[in-house]
Amino acid sequence: MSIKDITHPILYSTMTTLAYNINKKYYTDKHYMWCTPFFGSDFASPHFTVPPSSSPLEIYDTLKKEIDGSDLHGTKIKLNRRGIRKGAALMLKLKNINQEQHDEIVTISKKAKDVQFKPLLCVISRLEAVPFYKKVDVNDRANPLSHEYILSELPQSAFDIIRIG
Amino acid sequence: MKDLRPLLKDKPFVEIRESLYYLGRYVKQAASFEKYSKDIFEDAQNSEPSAIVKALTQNLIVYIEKVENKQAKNLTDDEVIFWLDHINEIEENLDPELPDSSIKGALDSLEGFSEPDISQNE
Repeated sequence: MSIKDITHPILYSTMTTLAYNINKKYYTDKHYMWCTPFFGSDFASPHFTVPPSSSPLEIYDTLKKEIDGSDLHGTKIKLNRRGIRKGAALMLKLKNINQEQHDEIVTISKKAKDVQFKPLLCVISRLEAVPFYKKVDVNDRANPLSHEYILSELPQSAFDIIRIG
Repeated sequence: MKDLRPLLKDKPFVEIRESLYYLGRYVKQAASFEKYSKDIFEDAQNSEPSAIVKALTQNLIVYIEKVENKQAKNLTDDEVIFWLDHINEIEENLDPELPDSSIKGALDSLEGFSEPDISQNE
């Protein structure tokens, strides 16, 4: 289902403070985020159609636990570090940044302390999000059952950030 | 010995980085990808991986499933952690040694990073 067709008025996403700062400094304050109309974690409900690993609340809690050190085998922050490097490689390819900026972002992804991955909850109006939903429409692609959407180049003016817990 | 590196030999650096990203995403969430019919390569329009990256990622998945003799969705927690650590070790060491200017610039940026002002939203 397209983001244009869902009835929920609000979308939620969890991003890290580090990603927020990198987007702000190197990507002209334009943000890339996965979002969903489901905030919580009512996984038993048939109406909750995102996997636990994609729930903004679960992601928020996972990041918090990894920062607190209560998750001994933390993998989420490492995945985030790799995601930042992949994003920088893409931005270099698209000529949105130069080699020096790319190298700085790669270094940041490696030198940043875990605490700099503190989670931020983003609250986005669905109507504001529609122009920034740039999914490739491929007919033979599996029809996903999960309501997750990728927004790219979303300006800070299109969402609020709140802290929970 | 379980080692992805021979499959990555002589591949371009950027393709390796992208493939390892999608591989990590898949290993971590393989069961969800099947249950929710998710495409492991789903991404924004300008970030879609190339056919070469997709093929390399698929090769890596096949290798892992062969060496573990099970589908990725059936990996135990310990096996998932092993592979994610292995992926991370390879990926983190892909970059050539960066110039001092990049390291200084990065450290200056990190120093200047702050939390967004959310006082109006509390």
